[in-house]
Amino acid sequence: MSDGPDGLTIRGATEADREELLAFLSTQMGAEREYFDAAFRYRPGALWEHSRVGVVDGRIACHIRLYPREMRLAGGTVRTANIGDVCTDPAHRHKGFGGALLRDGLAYMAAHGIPMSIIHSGVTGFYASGGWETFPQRGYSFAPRRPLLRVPGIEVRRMRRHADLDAVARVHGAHSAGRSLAVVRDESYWRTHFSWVGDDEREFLVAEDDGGVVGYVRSYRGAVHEIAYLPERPRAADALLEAVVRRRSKRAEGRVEIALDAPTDLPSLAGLRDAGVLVEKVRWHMLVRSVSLKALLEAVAPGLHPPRDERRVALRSGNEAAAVVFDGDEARVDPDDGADAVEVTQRDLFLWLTGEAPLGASGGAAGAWALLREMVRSGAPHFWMIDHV
Amino acid sequence: MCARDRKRPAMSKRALRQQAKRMAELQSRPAEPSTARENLDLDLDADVTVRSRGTLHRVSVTVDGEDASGCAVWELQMRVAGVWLKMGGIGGVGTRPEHRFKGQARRVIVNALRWMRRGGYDVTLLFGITGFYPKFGYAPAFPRTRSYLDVDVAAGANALGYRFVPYGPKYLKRVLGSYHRTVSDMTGPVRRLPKRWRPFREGLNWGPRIACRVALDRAGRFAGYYASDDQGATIELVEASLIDVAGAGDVLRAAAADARERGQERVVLNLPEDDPVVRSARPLGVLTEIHCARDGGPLFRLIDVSSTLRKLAPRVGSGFEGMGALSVRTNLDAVGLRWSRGKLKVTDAIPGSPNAKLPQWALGQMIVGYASASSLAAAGVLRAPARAVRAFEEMFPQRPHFYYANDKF
Repeated sequence: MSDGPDGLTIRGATEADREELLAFLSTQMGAEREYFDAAFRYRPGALWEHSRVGVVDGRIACHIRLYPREMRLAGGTVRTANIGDVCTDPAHRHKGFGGALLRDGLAYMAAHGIPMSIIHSGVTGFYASGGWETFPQRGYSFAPRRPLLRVPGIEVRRMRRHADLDAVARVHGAHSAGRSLAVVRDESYWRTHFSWVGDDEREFLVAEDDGGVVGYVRSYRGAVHEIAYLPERPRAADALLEAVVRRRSKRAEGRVEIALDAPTDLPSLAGLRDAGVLVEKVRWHMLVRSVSLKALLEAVAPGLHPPRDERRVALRSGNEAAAVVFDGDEARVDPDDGADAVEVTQRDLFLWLTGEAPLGASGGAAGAWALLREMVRSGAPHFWMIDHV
Repeated sequence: MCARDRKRPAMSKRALRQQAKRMAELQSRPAEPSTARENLDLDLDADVTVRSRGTLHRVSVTVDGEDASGCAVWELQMRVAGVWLKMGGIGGVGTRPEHRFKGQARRVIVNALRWMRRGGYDVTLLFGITGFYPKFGYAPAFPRTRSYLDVDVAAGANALGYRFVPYGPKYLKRVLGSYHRTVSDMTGPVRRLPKRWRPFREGLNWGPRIACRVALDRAGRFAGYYASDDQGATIELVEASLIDVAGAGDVLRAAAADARERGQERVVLNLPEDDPVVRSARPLGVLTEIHCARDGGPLFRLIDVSSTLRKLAPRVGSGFEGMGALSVRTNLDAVGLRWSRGKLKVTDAIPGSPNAKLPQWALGQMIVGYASASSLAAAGVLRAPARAVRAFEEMFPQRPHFYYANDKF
C-alpha cells in the first residue's frame, strides 16, 4: 500500500473488491463486467492483486491491471508485465493519479522480479512520461485482386477444440521457438483461453497435411490475429490465408481487405508483395520499459552468444549498468560501474535484444553495435496483440 | 506537335472511344518486367529525332514528316548509396491518336533507352501507367511510404520555438544547401542545381504547386524548411530539411496547424520512413504504411550496368573483407566484380569466377535497396551461389529510399 496525491491510497485489489472493481471497470472501460471477470479469473496465474487500485474516500478512483507473462527474448525467457485496463474516474482526472499508479506498478514488478513491462496504447505521451518508450510493431493489410491460389495437399478446416488443442499448442511452440517477443503459453493457457477469448472460435482454423495439424490461424471478421505453422511446413501459411480470404469473401460485401498481424518472416508476404497488394504497417504504439537492466540481462543470458573477441561486455542504459561475462559459451551477469560500458538508450536496448536494427547503430557507435549484434541470434520478432491482455 | 495540331481530331469520336477502352484494358493488367536479352548499343532508328534544350531532350518518331509519337528525357542526377548517378527521367510520353496501337510509343521508348545509353546515362526513372513500361525493363523500385500522426498529438510535439515564413527566392541558396545535406546519405533524391531547379513546382499529382515554408530560429536565422502538397481540402507534408533535427517537432506542430485548418484528423507525412521528422514522431505513436506496387507509379531500370557499378564501387565495396571475384550477368550487360582488402573493382566478366545471373531491373532493385538479394534468390530471379548472394546482401542492403514529389517530371 502506498500514498499518492490528493488523498489517494494505492494498493493491490482483493477478492473483497470484486463487485466494486468489476462495476468500476465496466463503467470506465465500456466493456461488459463479465469480460473482466473472466479475464481476471481464468487467465493462468492471474491474481486479484494484479489489479492496482487507487482509492479515495473508500471508493475506487483509478485502476491499472498488470498481466504477467513469460516472454521469449534474445534466445532466453523473461518475465514481463503487460499493463492494461488503465482508467480513472472522470471526477479524479488530471490529479496525477494515473502516474502514481504506474509508479506503484513498477514497484510491484521490481518487488516480484519482473524486469520489463509492455503497454499498447495510442496515448503514448502519458506513458512516455513514466519512462516507457515506443517500439515498432509490424503488421500488414492486403486487398487481393483475385482469390488466392489453393495449396494442394493441405486441407484447412475449423479447429475442433477437444481433438486439436494439443497439436495447436505444439505448432505454436515450434513457431515461436527462438522468436523474440513471443509469449510462452503453457498448457493451462490453451485449456482455459476459450473462456475469455470471446467468440472467435468460429474463425479458428487449422491446416492439415498427411493427417496432422501443421498450422493454424485465428481471425475475426477479416482481421488475422495470429497465424502459425510448423517451420518445415511453410506452405501451410499460404493455405490458411487462402481460407481466410475465401471465407471473408463469402461473408463480406464488396472489396475484401484483410488485416494481418504477423511477423516479417511469414512466407506468404513475398507473394503478396510481388502481387502489389500488400501494405506494410509499422506502428509505434507499443511501449516498452526496463524495470531492472541487470535482471533483464540475467533472464536473457542463457540465450546470448559470446562475441569473437570479447569475454566481458558492459552495458549502461539510463542510470543502470551491468556486464555480461562469458565463461566458455555460458554467460553470467555481473554488476558494473558503467565507466567503460557501451551506452544504449532503452529503445535501442530492446531493439538489440529483439534482433531489430538499433536506431543508434550508425556512425561512431557502429563498432559497439557490431559487437552486441554477435551476441544475439534472433530474427523476425513478433508480439501477438492477442497476448496483451 | 504544336497545340493547334492537337486540337484537330484526325479520328472519329467512336474510334477515339475504342482507343480509350483499349488503353483502360491495358492499364488494368499489371505486367512483369522483361527479362529478354537487350542491346542498347544499336543506332537510333532513321526516323527518330532528338531535340535538346539544356537538360531537356525530346525524342520523337516522325511519320510522313510530322511527329507521331514522342517523350521527354530529363537529364538528372540521382543520389544512390552516397554517390550521384546520371539519371534519365522519362516523361511526357504521348502518341497522336491516329498513330496509336501501331508500335510507335514502343519505338520511342526503345530509342530513348538507346539514346541514354549513348549519352552516358547510368539509370532511368519514370512515373508510368500500369501495363506498359515493364516490357521495356522498367520495374517498381520505390515504395509508396506515408506516415500518419494524430493532429492533437503532433500539435504537442516538443519544439524549439521556430517561426515559419513563406519561401521566397532569397532563401534559395540556403534551402538547396540544407536539402543536399539532408539527402547526402539517402537513396533516391535528385540533385537540384541552383540555375536549373525550379523551386517547389510539382505536387503529388503534378500540381497544384507545393507550398514551402522556411523555418527561422529564435534569432531569425535560417533553420530549415518544409514543403506541403496543398490540395485545398487536404494537405500532406512532402519534404522537410532541418539544420538541427531537434527542430523536427516544430515542423510537426506546423504541419498539425496546417492539417487542422483543413479539418484533417491526422497529419500525413509523405516522407521516407527514416526521415528525421518521422523519427521524431515515433515516440508519439506514428503509423507508417509502406506499399510496394506490382506495376505503375515510379518505375526504374538500369541503362548501363558497368558505369553504374563503377560509380558505386568505392562506397559499396569499402566494407569488404578478404578477396573475391564474381561475374554479374544480366540481360543487358555482363561485368566482373573483384574485391580485395576493402576495394571493389568493376571489370569485364571474369572467366572462371562464380556467376550471378539476374535481369538488369532486379539488380536495379537491389542497388536502390528495394529488394534484397536473398528475396530475389528465393523468388528464382537471382541465380547465384550462396556466397554471391551474401556478397550482394553486403553490397546492397535493403534500406529506406525515396523520391521527393517535388522532383517529379
